Amino acid sequence: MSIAPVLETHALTKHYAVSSGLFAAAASVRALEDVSLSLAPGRTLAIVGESGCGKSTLARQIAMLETPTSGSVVIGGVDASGADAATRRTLRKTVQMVFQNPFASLNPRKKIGLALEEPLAINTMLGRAEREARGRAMLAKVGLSPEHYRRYPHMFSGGQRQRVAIARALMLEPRLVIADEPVSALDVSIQAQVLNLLMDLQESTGVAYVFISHNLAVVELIADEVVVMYLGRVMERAAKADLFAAPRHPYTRALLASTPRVDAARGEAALARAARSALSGELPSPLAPPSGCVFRTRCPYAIDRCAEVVPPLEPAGGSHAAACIRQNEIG
Amino acid sequence: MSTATSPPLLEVERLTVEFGAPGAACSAASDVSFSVDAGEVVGIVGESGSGKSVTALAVLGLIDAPGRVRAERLAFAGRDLQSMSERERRALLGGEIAMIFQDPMTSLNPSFTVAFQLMETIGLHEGGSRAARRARALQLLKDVEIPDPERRLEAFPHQLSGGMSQRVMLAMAIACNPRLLIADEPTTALDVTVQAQMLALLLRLQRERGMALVLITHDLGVVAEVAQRVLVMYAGQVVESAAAADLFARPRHPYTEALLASLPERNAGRRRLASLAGVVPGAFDRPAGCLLSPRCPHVRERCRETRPPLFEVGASLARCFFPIGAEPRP
Amino acid sequence: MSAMPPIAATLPAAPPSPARELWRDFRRNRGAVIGLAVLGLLVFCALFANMVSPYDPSEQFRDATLRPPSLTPVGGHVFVLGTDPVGRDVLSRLIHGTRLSLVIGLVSVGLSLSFGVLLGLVAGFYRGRLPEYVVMRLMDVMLALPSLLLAVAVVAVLGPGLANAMFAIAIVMLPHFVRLTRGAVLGELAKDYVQASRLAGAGTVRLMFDTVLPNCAAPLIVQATLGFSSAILDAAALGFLGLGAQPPTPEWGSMLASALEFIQSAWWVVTLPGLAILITVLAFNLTGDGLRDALDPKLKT
Repeated sequence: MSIAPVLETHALTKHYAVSSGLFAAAASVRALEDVSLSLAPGRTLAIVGESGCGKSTLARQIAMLETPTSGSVVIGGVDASGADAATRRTLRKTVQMVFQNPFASLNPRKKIGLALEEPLAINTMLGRAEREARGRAMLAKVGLSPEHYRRYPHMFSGGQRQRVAIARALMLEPRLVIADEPVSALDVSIQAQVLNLLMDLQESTGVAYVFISHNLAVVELIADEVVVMYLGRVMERAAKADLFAAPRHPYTRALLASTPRVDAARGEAALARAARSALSGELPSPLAPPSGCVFRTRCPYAIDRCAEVVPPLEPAGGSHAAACIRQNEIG
Repeated sequence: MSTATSPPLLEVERLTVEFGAPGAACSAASDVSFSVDAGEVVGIVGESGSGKSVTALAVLGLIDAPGRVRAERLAFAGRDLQSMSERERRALLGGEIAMIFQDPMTSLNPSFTVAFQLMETIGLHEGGSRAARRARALQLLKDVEIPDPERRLEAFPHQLSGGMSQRVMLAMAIACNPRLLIADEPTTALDVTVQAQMLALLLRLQRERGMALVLITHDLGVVAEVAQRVLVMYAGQVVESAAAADLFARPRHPYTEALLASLPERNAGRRRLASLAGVVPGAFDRPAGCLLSPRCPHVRERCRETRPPLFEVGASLARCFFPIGAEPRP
Repeated sequence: MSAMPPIAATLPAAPPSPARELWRDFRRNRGAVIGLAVLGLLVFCALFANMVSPYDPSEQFRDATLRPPSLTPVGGHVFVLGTDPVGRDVLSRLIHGTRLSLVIGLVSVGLSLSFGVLLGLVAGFYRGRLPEYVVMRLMDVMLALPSLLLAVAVVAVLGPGLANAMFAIAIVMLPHFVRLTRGAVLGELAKDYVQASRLAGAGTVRLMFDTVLPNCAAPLIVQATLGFSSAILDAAALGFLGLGAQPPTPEWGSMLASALEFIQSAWWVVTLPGLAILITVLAFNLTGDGLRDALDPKLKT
């Protein structure tokens, strides 16, 4: 049909064993459950969810930092989950990651020039001069000046560090970059700069992004497709325009209703009503997720049947799919 | 700003907070002036380094040496805060003025139960028997809409989620019916759905108790939903002060304009966000003229030479010689 | 309306290197600087002992035994700090003893640190698996024994002598370095930059030595400095028991031991070596504390 996707996951599942004492059976945290998605080259897939939804776990599986409990991760057509060390090493050059906290993602004892050169030193046969040349070129590409090359990370602001982190991720010319909340820790005006940088780099290099965020406003801007997650499962999946125009899953609607907006500001009464109707209760523990639909304990539309059956991700037309048995009934 | 009959609840005039040796001091906040009326909701907006948190701490007398606070006037309900003794100020804090902070995990004492901490606060300001204080604590938890409050009373902070901890903080803050509540980034660390609940709760409590609320945040959306008046701070100074509706529809200061323009929701349909180049000046490389001059898209020669004071622009105040949509100021 | 006087815009030049920042922070602690100065003096004595000391430490002046400290010459020689029961100049012996004490500190700490760091890295990186289990249980066993007894036991097995004493002291200090390293490694492993290096393809060895270890250096440096002082004390204790340096080696602890009986009659033979130990240990401790204070704030950034 069309170009091969740069990333695919099939029924990706990850459980973490948590020991609960010497004599009790080991409990397991169901961090990811049956997540399937795909990403075309040069596009951006946004993963949206709140804390505990499994987005960071998903990032780690795709980046091959961990191996999934079951299911598979296919990168550029190669199955990464069952791969041997040599294949994984080759795949490393295809997938890179930018982390959320700019203050922890750079080695404090390494000058940033050396940090940029590290991926080249490990994976290529380039000489020192060539490595430095490439490092400097990349530094300029992300908008930093050459005199920064020999400085230590603590000399830089959060926004600048994030630029360095992005530069480092691009050194091996990956086809896929996972951006785990890359702008959440930055000031608003710096967020705009870094987001622009990310979009520019995508245009010039053709890299695909998996963009993880809890901020729907940013997602609406940068994403091509969106996946909404809750407690390790996919709740809804759609092209961006479809998701924001006509969300089908109650959780997506709650997220959209809760996002504060400057231009659609409501008075106190409307705010209270929105908050009440949006969501009640608390996030269940991932050690013991609710039976059936994991969202049912907080869903304003839950019925008895929601506890009995795990709703499959049903397409609602085109590529838009939602995991809710009542999606066609609710308004 | 104040009505003809009653003075403002909180008056701050020309507040300055400095750190460092007297010769080479850097000011975290300079020349900050604002007032809050009883029952009003005021939002203070700014990015990091804007001095918004420092301002709140200074008002409450929580800036320790080597920080130095000075102000022309710092008054609460007509009483001068600067000439009060330590003890009087302490009595005010937690009683008539309360504050909640950003990270509930570090604001609550991890070694004591919720009941203990609540009852301690109540006891400090109101006293009463153990049973009476416990009953009050239970009622407070219900007021902040914590589900299953009896069980939560005996919980330790690490057993509570972020949203729950923040509600407990709020309960402690409102325990003694303060007339002014200062909330420093109360929802930043919370998920967006929990944030919506928390904001609705804050507004409800504020209305029911006639409390004034000062909400400090970097999130313009939150301020738009909640505040009646907004102060925008940049590099330690107030750059604009306006009614909320005016601020978001007709910003007068270039910084406010740029901040609003860089919001993703105002760039819908565009491929790139409008953004302000450069970074906030650090404490030691502040320009001679207007603090925004190195970055301002409308900068003129005058801006680089002289620091503008706050000018009246319609019903707002803006620290700019060339406020947007108005005549240049002399 | 009047403009505020412009604040002098001092644009920071290239930022100071970490070494210069460390020295600046260290300098603020007066005790630490004094300690460092004393250490400097000791190192000087150790390096140039032959030139600094007035006499050879083993030279016995038969006609000047047990002379008290004085500046008046006796038989043509001045013994500033007196002589010991066999007529050897106490000052010369103390100066040569400096060399020994510093060597003891260097060798013991060096051995202990190297192996401790290696084992700690292994324990940290293979957390929850067999290597960590083996290493940590071994360390637990070693920590369960009183340190001096352990040292005595090792020397008893190997035979008395300064070299074996240093070996024993290194063994005694090992668990502390292992635990410290493991703790620091676990703390760093949780941070994103380690993941970033893994993503760049770094193997375990590179992660250990190039990525993580440099960031664990601070607590290790402090512990090493303090380890110097405990090494000297342990060597003195072993020497005191006759298990360390053997006569006529001018090691401070054995000097103390062989002269105990004179504590009432010839106080200088006992007290002065004791003072030397005290001053050296104090100097190391002050320097170590100063280092810890200077390095700690950076750990928090």
